[in-house]
Amino acid sequence: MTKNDWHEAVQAVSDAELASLGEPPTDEEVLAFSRGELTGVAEARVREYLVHVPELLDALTAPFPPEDAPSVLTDAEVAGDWKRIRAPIKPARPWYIRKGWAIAASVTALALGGLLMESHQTNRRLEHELAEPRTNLDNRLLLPDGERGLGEDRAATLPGGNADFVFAAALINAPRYDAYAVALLDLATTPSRLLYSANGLRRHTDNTLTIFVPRAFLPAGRYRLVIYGLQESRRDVLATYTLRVPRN
Amino acid sequence: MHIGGWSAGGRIPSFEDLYQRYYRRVVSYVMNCRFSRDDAQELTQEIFIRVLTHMDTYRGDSEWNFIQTTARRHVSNEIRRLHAKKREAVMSAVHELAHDLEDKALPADLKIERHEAMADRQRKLRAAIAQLPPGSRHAFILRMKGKTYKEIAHICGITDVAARARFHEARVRLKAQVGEDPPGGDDDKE
Repeated sequence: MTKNDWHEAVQAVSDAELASLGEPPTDEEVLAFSRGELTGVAEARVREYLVHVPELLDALTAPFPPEDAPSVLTDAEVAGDWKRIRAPIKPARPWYIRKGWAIAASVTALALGGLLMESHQTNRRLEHELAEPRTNLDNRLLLPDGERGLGEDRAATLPGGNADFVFAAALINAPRYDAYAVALLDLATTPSRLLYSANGLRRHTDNTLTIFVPRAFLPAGRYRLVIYGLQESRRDVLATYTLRVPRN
Repeated sequence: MHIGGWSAGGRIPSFEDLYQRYYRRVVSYVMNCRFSRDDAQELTQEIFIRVLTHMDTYRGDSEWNFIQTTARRHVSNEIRRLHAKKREAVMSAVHELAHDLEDKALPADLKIERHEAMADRQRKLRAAIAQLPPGSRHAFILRMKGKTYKEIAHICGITDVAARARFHEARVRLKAQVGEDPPGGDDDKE
């Protein structure tokens, strides 16, 4: 029997036993075993594996050679290996390009974060505003077109400022209907564009219908408010009100 | 971290600096883990590429610690991968041996006899080793893999003296079984 015969036999027995074992232990398990932190089945499992693969324990626990240890490689080998390492690596881009990308990404992230925060704050502010009392509303009694004299500009001019409007649209000599509806048209386009409509308006005892319009809803321009009377399937135009919102 | 010679404020070493400073030590470490010189160089090149590509996980402590951790992880994974491959090959190796004996065109009967004798020796040795009590068998396997009694004791969870005793017991049993002294006696390394 030669030494090789023995080594070959040992390796074969070891490989066969290893093949019967389950999954290999993780690095953390081997390190815990090495520190004596495992017990019972867990310890036995790692031990069994390390009997056949002791180099795994070496790989994880053996100290690295000291700095002044004699080199196993010549300078030429080290230089050759450096060329091989460099080959698959793309050359680094100039620092100002790398930094430029990083800065652009940071600025974009900051801007998006800022917008998101602003959006949240706006939502919260609006929710808050809607829930609290409003003051300084601009109450406007609107007379129907044809009831405001014969001037060239038949539009009712709304005042400037920031106050929201409460329109009281007056119905003059209009018959009573089951229900009323309103439409607000933008006259800047032909045909005019419908901005808003609603059914179910209530006619007050003084023959007016009340409509709240935030100032922001009516930028400078000309608009027409139309009041309809709803009776069964009929929809009759009862009055129109032409409005002009001047530039502030 | 970058591959060129520039470094921010001169404090962060370039990748080439790290390579020049630590490459040799990592190759030596890998060779100590029972890899051949060529394999160690190849593995170490992979380790340095990992160091470069995983610098985002580098937390600013010693760069040598970072390289050591990367190296240990890479080598341990490689060891597991090789042994998993070996596990898959165990059954096919048995098949290949039989195939060699039956089908390989051997020119002379003598060669066939030699081959059969070798296979017979192996069967006998393997059977003798496999029949050892587990403790002795493990000590014998580890000793044959070049481990010291201290290392055997650590892995088997016994004292150095017990490790030596188990190995001795294995040798005595094997000698009785196959009629020859196994290698790895007390004259070898402790």
